[in-house]
Amino acid sequence: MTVTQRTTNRYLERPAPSSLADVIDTILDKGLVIDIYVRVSLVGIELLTIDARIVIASVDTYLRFAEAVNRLDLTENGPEGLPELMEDITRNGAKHKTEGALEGVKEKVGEVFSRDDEDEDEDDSEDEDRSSRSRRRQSEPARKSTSSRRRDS
Amino acid sequence: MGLHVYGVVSAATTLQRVLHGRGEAPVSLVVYGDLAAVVSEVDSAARIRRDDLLAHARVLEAIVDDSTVLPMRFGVIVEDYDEVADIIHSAGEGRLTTLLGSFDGLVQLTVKAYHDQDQALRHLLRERPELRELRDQTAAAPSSYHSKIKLGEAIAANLDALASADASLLYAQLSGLAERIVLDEVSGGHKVLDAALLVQRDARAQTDEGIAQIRHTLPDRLSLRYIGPLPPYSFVDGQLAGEPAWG
Repeated sequence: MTVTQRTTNRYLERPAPSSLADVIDTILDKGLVIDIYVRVSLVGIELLTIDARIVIASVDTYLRFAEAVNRLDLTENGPEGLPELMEDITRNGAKHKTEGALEGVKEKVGEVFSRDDEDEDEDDSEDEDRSSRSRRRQSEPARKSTSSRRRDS
Repeated sequence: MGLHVYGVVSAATTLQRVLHGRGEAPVSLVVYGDLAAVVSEVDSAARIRRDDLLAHARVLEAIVDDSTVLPMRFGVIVEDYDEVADIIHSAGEGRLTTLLGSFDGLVQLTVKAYHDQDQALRHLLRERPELRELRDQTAAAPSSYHSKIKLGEAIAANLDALASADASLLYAQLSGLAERIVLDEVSGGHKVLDAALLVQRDARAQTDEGIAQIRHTLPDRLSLRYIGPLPPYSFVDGQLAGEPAWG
């Protein structure tokens, strides 16, 4: 929508519009705040972020890293059978496979926000490639408490 | 009824085309002195959906294409048109005008860098014989919980160090491309760098070329996302209430 096509090939590169994850990253914690007029409760987002940080530093993560290096074939350069940790993170689509766990969690925040639009987002083709429908369903039980939010397994 | 406030522009700004905001409601400008608030009508009791977040961002991204806008954080909603004036008044018209002027002709471009975990691990194992040794020990005794933890811990620490080193390198490369750079916190995950670049709208071509060059020389383990143009989200990180948030 903001991208204008130019026929000159002078630009090798052009910036892309922000994705849902980027949007959550920016508009929920950056920009002007006139606090007496903030009428939308954003409580819980920090909790989610902190939660993700804890998971990353956990013993479980160490075990997964150990698995990952043990499975790694040093002679190979291309992506191969990805270890579990990567699979978890790549569930939201190969296009975004290099995004981190934090992004993933923040994306879940977006889904929490959107819990009521299951039936009305047919027009929302932009995000369908992130298989958000199915992920939204997966994240259903995690909404009530922060304790069960650890990604899968 | 309520009004969702997207941002603040100068009163001289005109919308180049019809924009639709939250719930597809048309976006309008409410002028107050030298400034105007970018608003659209919303049901203030409505639950926030994913589309609402995207609409907020898209409206601002459309405006920033040819005008300067101070972006509001998502969630500023007023009761009616009269209250829009209160918002600008309580934030300080003079301060907002000065702040807006400081971004004249500038846009934010965001660069995010990520590690490909496998490639990063390969790099570490190649570069660090002690990690290879640890790995071989673990492979020899697969049931040893303790050795796995030790290996994983060493890997995690080395990945963190590699991420910091890669971030510094990228930062040095990026700093030549922007008037100002703000780094956002990255902690854990695969994200290595989250940098907001403030650049002249007219100098975008150079920035694009610079990013292309960086991408060209990027090691396998790193990938970049280049996002924008955005309003200067990362450069207006200020709380505006009664008290001045800056001098």
